[in-house]
Amino acid sequence: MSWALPAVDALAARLLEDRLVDAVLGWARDPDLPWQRYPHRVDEPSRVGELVWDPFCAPGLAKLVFRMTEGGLKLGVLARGCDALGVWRLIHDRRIARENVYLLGLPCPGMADGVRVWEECPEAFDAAGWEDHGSHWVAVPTGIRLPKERFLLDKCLQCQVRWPRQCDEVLAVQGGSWNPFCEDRYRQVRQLEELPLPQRFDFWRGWFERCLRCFACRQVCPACNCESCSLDQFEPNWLEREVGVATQFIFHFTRALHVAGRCVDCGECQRACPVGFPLGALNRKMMKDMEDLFGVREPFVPQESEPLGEFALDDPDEFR
Amino acid sequence: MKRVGVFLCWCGSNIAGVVDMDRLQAEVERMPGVVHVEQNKYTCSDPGQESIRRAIREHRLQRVVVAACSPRMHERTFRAMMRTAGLNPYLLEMANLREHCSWVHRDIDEATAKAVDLVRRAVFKVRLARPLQSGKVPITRRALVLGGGIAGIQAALDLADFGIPVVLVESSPSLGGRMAQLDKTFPTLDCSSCILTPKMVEVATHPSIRLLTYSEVESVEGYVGNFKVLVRRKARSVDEQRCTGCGECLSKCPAKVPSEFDLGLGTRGAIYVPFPQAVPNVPVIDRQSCLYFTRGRCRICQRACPAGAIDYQQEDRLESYEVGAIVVATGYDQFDPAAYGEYAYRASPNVITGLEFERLVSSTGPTGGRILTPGGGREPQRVVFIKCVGSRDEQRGASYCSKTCCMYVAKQAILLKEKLPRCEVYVFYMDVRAAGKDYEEFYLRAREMGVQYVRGRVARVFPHGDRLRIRAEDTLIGRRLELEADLVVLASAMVPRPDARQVARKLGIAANQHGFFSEAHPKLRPVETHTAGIFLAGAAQGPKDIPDSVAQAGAAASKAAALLSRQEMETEPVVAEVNEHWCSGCLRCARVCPYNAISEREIRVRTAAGVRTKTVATVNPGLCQGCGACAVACRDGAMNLAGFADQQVLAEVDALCL
Repeated sequence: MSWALPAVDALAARLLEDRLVDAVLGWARDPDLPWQRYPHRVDEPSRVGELVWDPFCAPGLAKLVFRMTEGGLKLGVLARGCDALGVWRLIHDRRIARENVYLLGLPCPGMADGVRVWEECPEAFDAAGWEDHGSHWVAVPTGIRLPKERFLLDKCLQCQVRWPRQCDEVLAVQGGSWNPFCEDRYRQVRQLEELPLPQRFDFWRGWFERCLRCFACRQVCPACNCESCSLDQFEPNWLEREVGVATQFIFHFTRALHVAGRCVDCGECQRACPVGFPLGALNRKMMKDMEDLFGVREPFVPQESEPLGEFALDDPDEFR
Repeated sequence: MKRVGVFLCWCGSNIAGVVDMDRLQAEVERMPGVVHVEQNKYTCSDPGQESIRRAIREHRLQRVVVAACSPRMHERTFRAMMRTAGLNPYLLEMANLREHCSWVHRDIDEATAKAVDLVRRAVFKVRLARPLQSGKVPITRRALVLGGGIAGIQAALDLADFGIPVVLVESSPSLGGRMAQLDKTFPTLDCSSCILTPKMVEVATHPSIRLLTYSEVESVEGYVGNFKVLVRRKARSVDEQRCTGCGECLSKCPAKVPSEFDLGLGTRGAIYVPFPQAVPNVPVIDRQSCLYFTRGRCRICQRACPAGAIDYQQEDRLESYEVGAIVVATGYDQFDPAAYGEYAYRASPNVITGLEFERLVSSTGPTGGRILTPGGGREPQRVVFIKCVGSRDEQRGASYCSKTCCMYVAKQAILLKEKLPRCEVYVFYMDVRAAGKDYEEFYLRAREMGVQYVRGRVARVFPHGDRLRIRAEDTLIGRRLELEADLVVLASAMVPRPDARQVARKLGIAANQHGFFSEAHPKLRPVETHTAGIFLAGAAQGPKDIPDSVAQAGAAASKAAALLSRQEMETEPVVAEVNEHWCSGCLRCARVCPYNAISEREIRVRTAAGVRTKTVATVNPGLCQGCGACAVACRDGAMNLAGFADQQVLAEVDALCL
């Protein structure tokens, strides 16, 4: 089982050569920051070598697919499970035309926190390639072993889609649909639910005080794709510009409720947050409600119809 | 700032008895934008309305708040007043000081404080009100009547007499409905057929009525004044134009199946008319039982038919009709008493329902009107009636009273006594409800004829030899009773037809928890539905006897006629509107819309990257009922309900919380 970069490159090149797509979106190395991979688009088969596929490809791609396909560009996407679900969120929201994307699914054994690896083991970045050994990433040919327990990205801890779903094609190299790090997706939610109200309030207030309201969480979120975000509007002025505990409440609850039943749990919001706000806990609380109150089995998988966006005559209506 | 006038209504003592009006006025005078406040004993009265008009003139008011009763009561009244005063009717806001305040509070201080809040939120909201204009839509001058029972027949005839073309759709092969199955009718004992069949003929021959029997509504699209109805005309296998109704085919058909019309007490052929007086008098072939359709041979009816009307190749046809109004008169069904195992309805043929008794006593019924036990074919010596089977019983039936059973049991008891004077008749009842003209007298007549009324519920009925044994309790004297009878009649509840909810869905109307269609207001709009242009008649709306059904059918017909008497109608301007600039085109609004009022359209927009097309939601103001579900579902805030704009609602919140 290896991070089969040559196979990925070959597929990307084939898509471009066969003119199935106009461009392929994936990741590339940052020339200055060895731990950093940034989203990168190649338009020519000759340039697929610029793409990289290794344990440091952290950024999500779905939101970029939206912007890039707006003008009608037909885009191949190197899609991990989370990217594919994000793209499907945008397809169901009618923001991406299905025929404009070709989802090239990459089974993903989890991504590493590049900064931490750089701090603790910079020589790992000398590797020519990587292999996945379940509990470790192993650098080739140096043989450096990175334990996932230490380096796995937060957003990958509770991943349910290591094997990408709903793709046009899946690169059948490395298996591992099972995520050994996720025992209970709702563990943190349950812990918070059990806290007495004052402590729970203090927990959130602490984070509201730290939030800079930079909107990074919204900008990366594939479910936050409105033409005009209500939080940016002045008339009516839903969100005061003043940053205080009350307005932070409004901001975060509006965000959480606008993605309730639509969040794909890609974890990009929390990864992008400069202060480490546990946005995933808010989102998963909503997901847990979708399961408990509406019987949605996999609330993170985008559906044509969503529990909070449907008029149904047989709605049980038990909130009366 | 807009100049606001506030009019505080006493509603006699309804409001002024609980709210301190002078203190309220003093508070209201200090509210922003308010330039005039006055009190009136009855603001809705002519002098009350005139005083508003005068104030609008004298104080150059631009916005008006009437603090009185519920807007459901008088918003229309005051909007009309606004128009006569030269202001747009939608620059008015009502504060409900009655239902929301004085009627539910006693403490004067608290009620007054709440009244101040209610008026303040109305003032804040009305300051942001925009004038709204109604549009106009043309009206199709044709009505659809759904159901050919007595209610549907009456509605169709009344509409046709207004000169309005009517399409009457009946799912069974003949007009008549439940009333055709009845023998005599209370409280006058008219023969049901004698008063019904002439009306059936009148429908069939009326030049303004197009009668579609053996037909079902497939789908309904559109909105008030402009419905498009697709009707499935089921294959009759008999050419309606050629058939002369001679009946030759009926007697020759070798198949024998239980007759639906006789509730299984009699039989019919595979080719049949439901009953001799059927309209139209054209048979229909029941393809499930026909030997030709099931085994490929027979064709006896085809050979017997002198007119050559039998057409085995006929297929279902879809016909489309444009109508402006719909009267729903789909009728009721009888509760299946099998749920009451202790009454042995399934176990003994001699336990029957009230409707089955009607067929048994009818001269067109399987026994030719002789009352014989279905099990033994004997004249009964003793008959027991059990009332409220499935009615007034939340456990196994329905919570409501079926309203007609008390009277039809009295009628059936009288008929029994008339036909079999020596037969003993017992009626077990919970209460006798005989509210209605001449009803109490009719019930007493049954008692005077010797019918034994026993107050108490029957515990058990079980077959005993060739008779039935009944165990019961007489609760008035607290004694257990045990008696034998030859026939037990269960006064089974009236329930909605099994497909009532599907019908409601097709039409976009509401049904209550039982499945009866819901009227728009139980007192003031009893024949309208919440969907404009759709009206209700008969037992589809709730248990009803014939006089009530006929009266309601007439009311529904005149409501529909009033609508169709106009060339065009004004649309309600309180509808959703799309800010296309903000709309993302996700069309979540369309999915939450209960009225299918939202669709998509493409617009061209100019962006930094040049001109491109984008999909946005668009609202059909004829279909939109202004419920606001879309405005809530829209994350962008691109969907707004006119008259309830987000800014207005937020201003109300500010008025109450700041």
